[in-house]
Amino acid sequence: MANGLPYAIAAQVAFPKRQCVAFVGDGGFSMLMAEMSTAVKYELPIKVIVIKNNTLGQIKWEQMVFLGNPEYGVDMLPIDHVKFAESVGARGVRIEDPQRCRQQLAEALSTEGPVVIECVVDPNEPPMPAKIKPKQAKNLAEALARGDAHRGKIATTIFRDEVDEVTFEESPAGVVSRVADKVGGVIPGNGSKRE
Amino acid sequence: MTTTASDLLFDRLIDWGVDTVFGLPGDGINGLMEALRKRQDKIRFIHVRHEEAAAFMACGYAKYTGRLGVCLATSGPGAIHLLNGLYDAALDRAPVLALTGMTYHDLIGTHYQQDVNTDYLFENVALFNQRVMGPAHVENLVDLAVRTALANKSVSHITFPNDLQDVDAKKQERSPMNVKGHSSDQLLHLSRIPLQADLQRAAAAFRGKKKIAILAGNGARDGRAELLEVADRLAAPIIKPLLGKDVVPDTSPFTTGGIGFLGTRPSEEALEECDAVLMVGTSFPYINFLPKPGQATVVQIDDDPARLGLRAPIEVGLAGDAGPTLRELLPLLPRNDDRSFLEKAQAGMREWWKLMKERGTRADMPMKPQVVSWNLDQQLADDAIISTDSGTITT
Repeated sequence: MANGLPYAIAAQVAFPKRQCVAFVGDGGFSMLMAEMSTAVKYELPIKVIVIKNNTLGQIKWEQMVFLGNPEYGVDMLPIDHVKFAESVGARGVRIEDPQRCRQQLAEALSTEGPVVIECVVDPNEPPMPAKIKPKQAKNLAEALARGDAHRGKIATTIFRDEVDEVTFEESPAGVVSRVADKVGGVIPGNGSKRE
Repeated sequence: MTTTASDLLFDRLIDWGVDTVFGLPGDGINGLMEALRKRQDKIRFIHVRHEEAAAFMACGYAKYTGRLGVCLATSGPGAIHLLNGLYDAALDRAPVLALTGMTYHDLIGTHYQQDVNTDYLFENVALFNQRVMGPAHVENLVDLAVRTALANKSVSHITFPNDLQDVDAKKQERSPMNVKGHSSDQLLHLSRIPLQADLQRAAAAFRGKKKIAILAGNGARDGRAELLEVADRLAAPIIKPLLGKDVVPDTSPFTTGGIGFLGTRPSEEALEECDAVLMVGTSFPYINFLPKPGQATVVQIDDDPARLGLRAPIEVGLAGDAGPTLRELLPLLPRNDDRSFLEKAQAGMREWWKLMKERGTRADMPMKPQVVSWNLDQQLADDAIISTDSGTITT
């Protein structure tokens, strides 16, 4: 984490005429975000896409899927990256609506000078491995059953994804149905169950 | 105007072709900063807000250009801040030179201000790691530091005690054995090719194999054209660990993209089912995604002989640069006429891309993160440079 922004700055220093884009999360970005000021100082027109979910996402899912533990210590206070960008003399853009995403990205990419593009996304979208091992599904079920703070939303998100992807051969969604059996009791509308 | 030891240092780096230094000034490197100020028409100083960023920038610069990346930090805390970026360079094998300050040469080790032995501190990360002892010690150290970093794709570190930085280069006597001008600022451009006998053994290992996979990391970057030819000859999908992302384009019919928790299903299945693997320039760490020992015949190419056999028991190891080694290997390889393993992987990738499109075009609120990457991908310039952190962002 944290290297994405300095890499983009180095790339733009080395190749002033090429398009240099950092694609980073809000956790990694905040570690060295002061370097946006360096991009402004040296007039480096980098474009920084900040995927904002106010969560250390990979760790959250590792806690649940690898170890079967409820998520802990992974939430982050939201940062307003648009205001931040403006405060250091860069441009800031916020993208929230998937229907406008394409157009807003196009405009931001063609804007002169450094731009921070804050993309507000679903914090409960799982970074699913390509193939889910039965043990991982079981761990996730256990983590939710043991009282994960966002279990209702997580379960809803996974099941909605599954319904949407059920016709796709490459989707791991089929395995997730096994989770359904394990955590039936904690799905909203099914009452609650605690161990 | 007096020529200082710091002047000698940067003049020598300029001779080596260095024109950019990433860093942050501090009272432990004022002598070095003055030498940079006097040379700002020849060497660009990029002033960062935190030394960790300077080290990451030097690493990124080295990765994107193939040239030496240079970073500069003051004594004590400044030097300590560099470490994260230097480990990034060491583990990803990017040639980087770190320059740091130390306290006054005759106060080292006496609990003086910012008294950190930065050479001791960097011992685990820097392959070349030395302390300047005077002006006559600058040029030979710089030459060896740069050569070591470039030849081994590693980190070099030179630390410079504060007061020695602005010593008059003419006044310091050199020891009689240190003959002036003995060191050279040249590096021979090596092209490492394995022995012919080993190439033949490697080619023979693929005889009769029908399900061959290729795992290509960042060491394969200089052999893109050759790799695609080898993939065609062996009817083998190219699987790319994260650092091999740019080795062949994702649009090539010969690749199944990434591998690991951040990878594709066809990549994972190809490694589960293959009977032979060609590993090229990769130290991909997740051994549990590789064929189980005994499942497949493994041939590995790496420019570092010590890495041959690092992650999997190998039939043949080829110590050489990817491009020239693959070029030599290609005419020796048997053609695999059974295309079914490759075709299955290609069919899997067509389905995979359909799934990516489904995920990337959803209209749910809150927005799915895949929507951003899907739309960005379609709008980037062909020669855009994309950098990322590692985490959910790379899935």
